[in-house]
Amino acid sequence: MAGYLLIAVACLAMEVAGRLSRRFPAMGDAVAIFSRFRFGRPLMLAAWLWAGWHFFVRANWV
Amino acid sequence: MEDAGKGRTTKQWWIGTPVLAAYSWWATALQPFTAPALVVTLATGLAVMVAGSCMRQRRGRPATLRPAESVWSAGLAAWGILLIGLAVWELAAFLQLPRSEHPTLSSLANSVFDSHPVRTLAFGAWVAAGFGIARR
Repeated sequence: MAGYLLIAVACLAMEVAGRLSRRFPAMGDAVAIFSRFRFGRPLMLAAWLWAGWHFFVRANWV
Repeated sequence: MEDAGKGRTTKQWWIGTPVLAAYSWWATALQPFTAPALVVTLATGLAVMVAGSCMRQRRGRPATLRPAESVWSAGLAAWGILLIGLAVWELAAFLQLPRSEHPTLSSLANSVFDSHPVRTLAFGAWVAAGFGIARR
């Protein structure tokens, strides 16, 4: 659990740094650059679709 | 001209947000592991990808890089390290038991998604994220 918290805090800090400074990319900038690779965008969309299936269809929250 | 575009965007936002909220509420009320949940989630995913791609074609891809992009290599590496760190932590948690002491993202989501409003928010965020990726 501590690891996830640490990663979440780092993610938030980097996002804030990206929003405040043009010298550091925000998450959206990193995604935009990755999507310029030939398989970047299809890979991200596939991962996104899988996440939806995993969290909303194959879920155990009932 | 610019004001008209801004006004249209504001109008789309005011109409789109309640519609997305209502749809997300309905979609996340479906029982998991059932055909309706599968069909609704996949259909939503496909619709989001098609809508985002249409918007992308209309706008065109950005031709030039932002000026700061050339100095972003360290920042991009940091995002990559964070992603790898998340994957490693998730795998380490997945391989260890008991799950209560070594939770995975899925087990954490299962406990949080017990609440319907949280599921609705998560579904809306998922749709928005997919639209953001598809239109790039």
